Amino acid sequence: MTLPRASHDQINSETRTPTYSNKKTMKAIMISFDQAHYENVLAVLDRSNARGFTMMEQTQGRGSKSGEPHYGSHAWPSMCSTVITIVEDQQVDPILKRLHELDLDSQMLGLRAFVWNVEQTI
Amino acid sequence: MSLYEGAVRRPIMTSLCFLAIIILGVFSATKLPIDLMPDIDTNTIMIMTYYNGASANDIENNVTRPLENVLNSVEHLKHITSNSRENVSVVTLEFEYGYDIDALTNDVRDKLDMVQNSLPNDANQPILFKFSTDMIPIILMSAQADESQKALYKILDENVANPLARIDGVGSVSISGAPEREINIYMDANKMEAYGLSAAQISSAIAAENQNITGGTMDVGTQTYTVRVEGEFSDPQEMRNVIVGSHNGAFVYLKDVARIVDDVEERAQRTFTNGVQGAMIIVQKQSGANSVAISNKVIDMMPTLQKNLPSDVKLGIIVNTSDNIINTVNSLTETIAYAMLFVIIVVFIFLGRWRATLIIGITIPMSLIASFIYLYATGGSFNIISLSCLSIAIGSVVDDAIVVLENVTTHIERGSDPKQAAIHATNEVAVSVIASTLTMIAVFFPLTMVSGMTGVLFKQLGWMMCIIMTISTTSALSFTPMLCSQMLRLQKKQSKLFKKVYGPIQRMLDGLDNWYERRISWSVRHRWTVIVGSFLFFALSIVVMKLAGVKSEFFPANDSARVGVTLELPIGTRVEKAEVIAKQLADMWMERYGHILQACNFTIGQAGDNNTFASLRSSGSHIISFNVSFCPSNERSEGLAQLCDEMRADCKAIPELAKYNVMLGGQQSSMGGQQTATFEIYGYDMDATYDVAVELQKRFQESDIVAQTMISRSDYEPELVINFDREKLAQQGLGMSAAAASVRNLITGSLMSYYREDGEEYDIKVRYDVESRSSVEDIENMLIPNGMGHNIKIRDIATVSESSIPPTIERKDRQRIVTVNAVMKDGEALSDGVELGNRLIEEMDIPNDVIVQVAGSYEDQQDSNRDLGTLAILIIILVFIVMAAQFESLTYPFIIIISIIFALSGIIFALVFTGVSINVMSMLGGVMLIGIVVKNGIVLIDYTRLMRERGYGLIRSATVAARSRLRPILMTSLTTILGMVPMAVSHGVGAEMWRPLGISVIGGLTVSTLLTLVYVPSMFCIFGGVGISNQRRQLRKKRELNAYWKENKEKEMKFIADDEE
Repeated sequence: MTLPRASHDQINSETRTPTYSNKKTMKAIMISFDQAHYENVLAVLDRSNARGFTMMEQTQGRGSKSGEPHYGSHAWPSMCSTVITIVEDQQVDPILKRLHELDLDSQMLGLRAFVWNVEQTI
Repeated sequence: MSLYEGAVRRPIMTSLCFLAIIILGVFSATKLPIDLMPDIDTNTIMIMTYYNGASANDIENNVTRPLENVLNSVEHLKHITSNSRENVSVVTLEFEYGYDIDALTNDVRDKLDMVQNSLPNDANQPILFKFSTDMIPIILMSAQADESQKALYKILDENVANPLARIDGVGSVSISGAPEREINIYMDANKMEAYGLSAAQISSAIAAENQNITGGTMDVGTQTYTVRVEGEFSDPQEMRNVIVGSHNGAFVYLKDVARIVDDVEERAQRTFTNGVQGAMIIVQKQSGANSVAISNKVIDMMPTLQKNLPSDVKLGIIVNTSDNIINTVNSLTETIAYAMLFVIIVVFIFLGRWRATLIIGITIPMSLIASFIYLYATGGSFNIISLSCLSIAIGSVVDDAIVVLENVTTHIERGSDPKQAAIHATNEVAVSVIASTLTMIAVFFPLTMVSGMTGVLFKQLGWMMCIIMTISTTSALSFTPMLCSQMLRLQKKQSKLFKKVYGPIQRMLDGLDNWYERRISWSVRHRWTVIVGSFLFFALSIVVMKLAGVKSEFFPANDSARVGVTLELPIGTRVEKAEVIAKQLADMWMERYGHILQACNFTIGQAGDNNTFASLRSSGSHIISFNVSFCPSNERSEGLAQLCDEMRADCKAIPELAKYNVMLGGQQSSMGGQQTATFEIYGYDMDATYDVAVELQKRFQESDIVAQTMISRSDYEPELVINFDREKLAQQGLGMSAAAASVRNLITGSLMSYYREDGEEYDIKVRYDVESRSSVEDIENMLIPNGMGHNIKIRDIATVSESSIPPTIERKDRQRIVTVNAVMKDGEALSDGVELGNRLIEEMDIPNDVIVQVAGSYEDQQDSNRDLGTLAILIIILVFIVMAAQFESLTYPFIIIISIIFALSGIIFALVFTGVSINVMSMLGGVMLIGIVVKNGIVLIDYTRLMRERGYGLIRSATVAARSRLRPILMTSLTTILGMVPMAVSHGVGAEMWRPLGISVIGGLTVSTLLTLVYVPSMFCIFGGVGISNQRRQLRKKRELNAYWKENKEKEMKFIADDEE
């Protein structure tokens, strides 16, 4: 399902001259989660046709309220991973919905996603 | 990709890798021989030097001393002992264990070459022997016979000994107690005198007649014939008509002067088994061969052999050394199985998950089986040490797997996918798992470096534990996460049955957690009380040890169901008298022990020259040696030591016995025998030392803890001395040696010829009839030929007097010595015996130049104590280093190391309450405890530190950590303790060997676990409190300094500026 779209993108980026202004609105979603969610998060992205992403496999962090620190240290041995994916507007909701479901499934692990606008792309 | 990630992602590869290890392990296990102890290399070399005609004193001065002086400089020599007796010097070199005996043999040979020139000219070349345990027979078989008695030797030699000797691995098979056939020609002294014949004439006449001679070849027509004269006798009675001389013109036939008796050798040992006369067949193995395998083959062969024997000859087993080995190994295997079961139950109770329990259940045998590969590769065997090692390891191998499993479970419960949980959870604990394995290796690796006898025992154990630990860690970091990812699930619903069964356990454990938390919360607030209390407890244990007195011994006695008894009547007693006493004892024992006795065999009489087995032990007409074997120890209520004591009492009741020696296990040895206190009496004056020895023996016998005492020096042996007058000899044209040879021929008999029948050769012995050689007068009346061919009476040229041969001169470390051995009664400790001996010696009036020393198994014990002591210190240092590296701190390891003393208290209490002695096995338990005890402390400190890092307060960290670590600590301790319970309580064959090990581990670990659980949090708080106040003080100082700096900045700056100018 993702394949034809991918090839379409590729053709576009090669044929079109780069645009520095954003005509079609795109959103960036930063998903920060416990390492154990890795495969689940990728599955969510796949299911939501979000092909492109940037993954930082080992990141540290802690939640604002009750989220346990993830430092990879002796006291806090677990680690986070962070994915940033840039998707089209209409894709954001389904992705967030699915991620929220995932988070509710195993609240102890921790998963948060943050969305902001993409001003420009190349 | 890390190890665990790879393992989780590739389950097939991981399982097959471990399957391969299991297959190799099982394969190795099937090939492994079974033995009682690890192979103990030979450490003794014997040098025999013959110097004919020299007395014990001459031998000592001219042969033994030069040899000792030179050989003393050989490297790694522990003791040099020697026996100097008439004609022969035997020097025994005992080396430290663990050196290559071949290299040492070469050294010894080089030294011998050096000393060769300083030995007397007539002394023979010294002969070098390597002595080893292989010389101990592995099977003693009995053959009972009626009418075949006379021909028994031949029957057994052809039908039993030869087939047995063909078995692969059998070294030699000898027959004792069945005299060999001999053609005896008994001369009548009076007739010989009447006919003027001499013994030499007769034997040379027989030798000349009894010959086949080839006469060369001859051509007859076209054929070539060989010519042969057949003169050999085809029937012994043909000799009757041999012409031995002439008298008054008539021939004298042999029948005129002698009788020909086709019988058995005159002086031979006779063997009785269960009251029936017969023979004993001794099977020795080739060096390095496995005794159990060979015994099995011999036993398998017995029915076939029995078929080929005449119907009255019955084969039986007197002693089969492998019975004890097999029984021991079997009962130890049983305890291992129980240990495994207990461990699995503990794991289930604490984890409450059958899948997790199954995973642990799979990993235990895997690590253990892997160690068989090591044993097979290094030529090891299943023995007490290697199997005890498995039993010890069961409790420890689960620890790593449990830590991993627990963390994976936590992750799964937090919502991770099992696969992810397995990887990340293992990642989190990998470092601490490796660290805890390193502490175990720090404990067991030094064991591989112990020297001496103890080293031989512990080397295998050390390596095995290191390997098992390494394998178990590897499997905990790869195989266990893989199994977790495949088998563990989030338990969303528990079955009703499970809830019903596990509910109460769960409630109990929770209750325990709460109760413990309250205790801890009290104790961290009263930490000084707790610490002082703990140390008082330790002090109490030391006081108890001093008051109750923990007994000590070297090695527990092994109930091998076998007793050897050597009885000595006064020297010179006739064999008939010995037989009467032996029968009396045998009947008494057979009646009393009938229900538990398997065989009661005794041998009497002087051994022939060609009996290899008999030549290893003393024999003589006055010596009786018994071999008694009982049923295995678990089938009777009486301990072997108790039976020995009873038998000693019987021997004591027979006044005729000059000496008796009842040996538990059948032979004298420092390991596995009965506790024996050995005292060495050094001094040049033989009489003075002997007096001291006799006095010491007498005093020992009066005490009620000593069962028997023995003095090593034998009594003076009676002898008849013939003193030839040289002048008279010369007048008769005789030399001294010719005269002596003639006398020898008359008494011992001259052997000039053999009688051949069916391819066998039998001796033809010519000598005086028994009646003509039974008194001093008989010797004086003996006729020997003079130089002119006439016979003369010995009384004409010599005087015969009665005298006695001085005893063997024994030396040890180049000094004359007598040893007194005191065997302790059943249940009495070696340490008490040595103490008693020392007290007795103190009371005795000992001459100035006589020194008495304790030696033997007490010396071995002291050596091994020293070794193990050094080892314990080395281990503690290594463990400290590992912990300091893990915690990056010196305080925490210090807190944990201190907790080792509580294990010591535990061991002391356990030994005092059970009345078991301290010995090598219980000390081994103590050494192992260092590693196990420290593990508990590490777990507790590690988590408390973690809580501190997470920002909890000192007291809260300590209580929370203690509560959360209670179960893991209880679980690992209980697996080890319960793993040892079967060892401590088992009553199987050989249990007495490993019971001390089990008891000391259980006692030490129980006490130390309980104390560690309150001591460590309290100690942590004390050090933590001190740490905090230090920090605060430093902060305050810094603040004050800063405040001062701010105020006086200008002034101070000026100072600095001034300085710079």
